[in-house]
Amino acid sequence: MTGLRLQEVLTFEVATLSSKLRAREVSSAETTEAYLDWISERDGELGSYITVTQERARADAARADREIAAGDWRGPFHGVPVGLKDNVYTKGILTTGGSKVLADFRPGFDATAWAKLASQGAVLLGKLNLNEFAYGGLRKKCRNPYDPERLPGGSSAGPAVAVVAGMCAAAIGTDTSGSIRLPAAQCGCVGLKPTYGRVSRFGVIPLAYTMDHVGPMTRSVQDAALMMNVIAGFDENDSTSSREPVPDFTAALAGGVRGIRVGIIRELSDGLSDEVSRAFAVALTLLASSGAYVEEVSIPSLEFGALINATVTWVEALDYHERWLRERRNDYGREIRLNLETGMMIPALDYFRAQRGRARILAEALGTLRDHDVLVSPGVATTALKVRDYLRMDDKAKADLGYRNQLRFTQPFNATGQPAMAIPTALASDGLPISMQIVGRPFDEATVLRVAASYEAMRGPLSPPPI
Amino acid sequence: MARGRQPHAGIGRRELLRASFLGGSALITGIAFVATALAGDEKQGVPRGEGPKLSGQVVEQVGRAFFDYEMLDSDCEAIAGRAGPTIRTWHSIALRHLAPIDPPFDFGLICTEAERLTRKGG
Repeated sequence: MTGLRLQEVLTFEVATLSSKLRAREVSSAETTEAYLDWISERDGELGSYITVTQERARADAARADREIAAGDWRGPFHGVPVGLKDNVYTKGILTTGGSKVLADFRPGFDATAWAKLASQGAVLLGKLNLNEFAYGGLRKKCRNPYDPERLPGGSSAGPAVAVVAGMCAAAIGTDTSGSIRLPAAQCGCVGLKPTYGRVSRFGVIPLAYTMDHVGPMTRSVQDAALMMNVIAGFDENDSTSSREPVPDFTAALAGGVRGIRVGIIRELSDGLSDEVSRAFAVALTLLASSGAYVEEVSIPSLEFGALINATVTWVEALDYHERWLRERRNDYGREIRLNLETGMMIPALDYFRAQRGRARILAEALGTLRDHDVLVSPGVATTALKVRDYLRMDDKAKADLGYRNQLRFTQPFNATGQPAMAIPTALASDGLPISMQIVGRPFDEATVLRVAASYEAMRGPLSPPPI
Repeated sequence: MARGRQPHAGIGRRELLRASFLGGSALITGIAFVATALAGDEKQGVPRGEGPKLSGQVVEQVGRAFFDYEMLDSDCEAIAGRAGPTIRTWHSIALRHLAPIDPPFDFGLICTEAERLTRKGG
């Protein structure tokens, strides 16, 4: 490894690492060993991994080095170590869903999103921690890399923690109520929930079929675009997969924001901590100073997002889990079990109405997007809570916090299926990340990425976590 | 990148595992928010139905009668507390907010899924 310190490699974005791998300034084998060493040294404290696939990673890396040396470069992920949320199928490798129910489950095939990444030569470091089936509690502790006494957000907690803490170069997460964007916002990485149908759900353990999204969690907007270039696209194994043409998501990154029309979502602009409010205002000022038109818009039906999301998720999750719930009830944690049992109480009529209601929110969102290119809001209302403080709250306070500080920002866009991204804006005085959400028109991830990349360049780098 | 931190004294493993986000309880707060908004509509003269009631006892009975499933006694009230406000809120919304919206029926999706099943020999 000429002139490079191993720990420096752990901080590289995919784009940087890829260029050095291709130029053979660094090998995938060395890089992978550096990642494995760091995981071994520090992940006991953070808990980002459920399964570390050392031997698989070493084999992937050795093959990548041979291929690159032979001039057979497959693309930007060739030789790059990545992690997968542990609800993404990996052939022959434990895929637990974060649950005792699947503690010994080894799928017979790869999820399409992972298969695409693997076909580009990505190195699998392991499977990342999540809330039980993305719907319950954490069975293994997981902590915020900016302060291990803080919560990481969920349910893609492991992917966010690993990306930020230098334990994988990029990760795949899933998002049904905000599960990519919330941990990305709390831990300080980029998280993109693509349009529904843009990335195949095949081989991903379902939570709510009609609102499940698969997407990248990365250190930069460019990395998210690079991963989208690999994982997006039609898949005949997923009936809800879209045939919409897939652009080169990196093509628009340098387009800037001059003339871009940005709508600030009024309904998501209140109830913020002072620092989140200030950081959001600064971000908007940066966009405006670069030539974007920024003005407030209103989407009154957003308030129905929680109701729709809860109703649909309760019922669709029960549909998937019902047999196991009957046969293995004691293997489920109490929180997810209550959620699934609640699904038994929801009348079919209300599920049907919830599905109809999704069109109402999307209609209003599209109405605002006739005159605007993207919509923006804070990513969440506050920085990550201390675990200790959270545990001291009663159930009502926890419920109030979860909705008002987090889910109200994200859930509506699972119902509408629009692309939505969390991007870090600043570090607060407590050293924790603050985030902004950028929402686009269906299948217009390119504009979301363009605005995000422009903002990211203006913002400059954030201090890494103190680990 | 190597600054150490001590483990977190005073919090047990059970508590750590409970310290998770995104439970159904947070969703309930969102539903309560919508219900409050609807109550505001009511004050402005929009009629609102009383709505169904759901008790722990009903939860137990529905679980048994519709799903042949025995709820734990300790869970029934919590489930009623989640599902009850949801059902009541939909009862109110359906009266006024959803009338012009077509059902999300997608014949193309059904055809695609049928083709997929045929390919798989299903």
